[in-house]
Amino acid sequence: MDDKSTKKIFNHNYILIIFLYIWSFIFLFTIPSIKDVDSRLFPYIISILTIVSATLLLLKTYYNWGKKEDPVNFSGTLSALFMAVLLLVYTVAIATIGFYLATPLYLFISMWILGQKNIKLIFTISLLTPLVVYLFFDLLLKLQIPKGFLFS
Amino acid sequence: MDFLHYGLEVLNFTNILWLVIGAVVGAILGALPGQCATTGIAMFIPLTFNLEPVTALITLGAIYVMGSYGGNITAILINTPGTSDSFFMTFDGYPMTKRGEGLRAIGISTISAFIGGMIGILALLTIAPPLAQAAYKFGPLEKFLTMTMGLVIIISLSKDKMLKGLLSACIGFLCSMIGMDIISGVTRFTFGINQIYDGLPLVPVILGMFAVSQVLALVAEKSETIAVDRFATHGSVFISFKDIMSMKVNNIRASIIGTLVGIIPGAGTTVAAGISYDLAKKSDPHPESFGKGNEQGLASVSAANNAVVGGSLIPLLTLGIPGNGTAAVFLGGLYIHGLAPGTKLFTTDAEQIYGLFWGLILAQFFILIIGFYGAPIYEKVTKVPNNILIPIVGCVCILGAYVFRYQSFDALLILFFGIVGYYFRKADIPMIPFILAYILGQGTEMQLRRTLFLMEGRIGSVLLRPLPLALLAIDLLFLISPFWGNIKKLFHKK
Repeated sequence: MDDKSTKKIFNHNYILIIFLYIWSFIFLFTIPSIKDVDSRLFPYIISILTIVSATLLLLKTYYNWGKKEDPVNFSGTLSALFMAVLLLVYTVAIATIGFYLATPLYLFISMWILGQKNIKLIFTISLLTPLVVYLFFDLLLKLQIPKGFLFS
Repeated sequence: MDFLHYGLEVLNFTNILWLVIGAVVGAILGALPGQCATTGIAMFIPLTFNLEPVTALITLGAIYVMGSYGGNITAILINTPGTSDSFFMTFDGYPMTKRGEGLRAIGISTISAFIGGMIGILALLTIAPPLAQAAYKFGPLEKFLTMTMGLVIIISLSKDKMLKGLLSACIGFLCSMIGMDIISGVTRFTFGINQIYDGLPLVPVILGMFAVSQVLALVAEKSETIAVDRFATHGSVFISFKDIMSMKVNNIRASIIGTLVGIIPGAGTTVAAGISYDLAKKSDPHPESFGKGNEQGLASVSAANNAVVGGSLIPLLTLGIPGNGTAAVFLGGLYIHGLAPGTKLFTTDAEQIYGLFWGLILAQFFILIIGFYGAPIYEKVTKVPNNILIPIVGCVCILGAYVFRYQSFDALLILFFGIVGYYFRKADIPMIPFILAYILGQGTEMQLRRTLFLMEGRIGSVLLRPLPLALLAIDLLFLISPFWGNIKKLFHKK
């Protein structure tokens, strides 16, 4: 028999269930340390409701109760995570070198990585975006844009 | 009349300028595939933080109105609805474009959207103030039951995803409990992280869940520019009064349906458009022409789509129950500016709310301007490739998180919730129960504790009053409704 047909596909619901169990039990064990007794009631209700619901989902998933779910397509997740890392680096860069230096660099790199090959366009957008932000948010809205150590 | 009185006060240069900005942003985001009014409002909440509350509400209202309309033109001209809300627009709009009547289709859609939007706002103006007055009679128990009602309805409408909807709400509640308890002042579940001492901040959570997750989803899709067929268009975008009158029945009926569906939490624009389209088809002497460029079908869908906006704001502004996802995020915008739904919003904060109503009305006129004069420019917006759009949206999101509290921690928080939101999207977990439970969590807990305190020892006498009983009955009705088919089958077997 074909190996692929007998191989049981991992159901992503288990990840959610494990995550919820861990979260709910951490809350449940922390609740007694809350100083005010009345402040414990709602967390107890929600934590127990979460555990019950997660258990129902576990049983539903394991025994295939109800309508069969479509397999979840997680393709492209690696690219999405890479973008998340890029945004993380951008966040750190804003805090250190400031928004006006970090933004052109971030825009240039991300546009290039995502497949934009028109260098002129990349340059224009990378330089225009911080300029628009400066005019619109800094000057007009008086929002404090992080300037970083170079401008401070 | 309060409405006219406040109108004169709020219609100043600053507010009009922000209305224009909101309308343009909403129109652009509505046209861009993958973006929508929800993302627009989420991105603009922190950016409008420094504005007067009335100005901020007008801006967010304009984004909401124009974001809903935005996808119409691209759906008609290039068969690409900016959002799922404009999906029905492609049925008859695009076939009209294919036979060279694209401009006429835009004209019909624009007029119908304007009529629908105006009827929706008229309903908002007439129903919301008395309903808010009625909300004055609500005690803690009634408030608690109303807050849970919104959640119960939205979870029950998740149909076969009900359990996931419930879990999504549980996660929202768990997040809402982090930080200082607003009644006792003690901190809970902060685990030594000082930045969440006051609770998880609203803006990074909303931005992360809706906007950043959308950015990540677009990256995962790897779609570049939309490949479309373009057809020559002839004639004029302006349609005659006679044509408008010939569509009056469908326009008015669809507007009423859109408003009513908008009031029901969770039902959404697609449902309103679907019902209106179906009714228009059934009542037409030539139902076979629907889907092949029927003007009545196009008009009914456009009117219903835009009427939903006004309808969805009725339960939101009076009872704090959002009619759809965009309204849920809009609720976040209200809270950020220190406004809470209910009686106070229509009395003490009347300037803000009537300002919003004026903003919504004026935004309807932008539909006419953009529809009649901006269609050719508008079509070009959809040509913006994702590899340019994604980095810019990402930049605005991170900036939005920074300027909210000026803490790098918030930018990290939106990345965290962005990944959580991405997982929700991929695993098909409804996001609206999460955001609703998160926004209403503290209020629900407060009302529950007040109720328990007040009804100590006399549960029966408090619960057996007509209003709590009616609210409880509605809660139960919606909770049972998804299983109604199974219950009927059970009885038939017997």
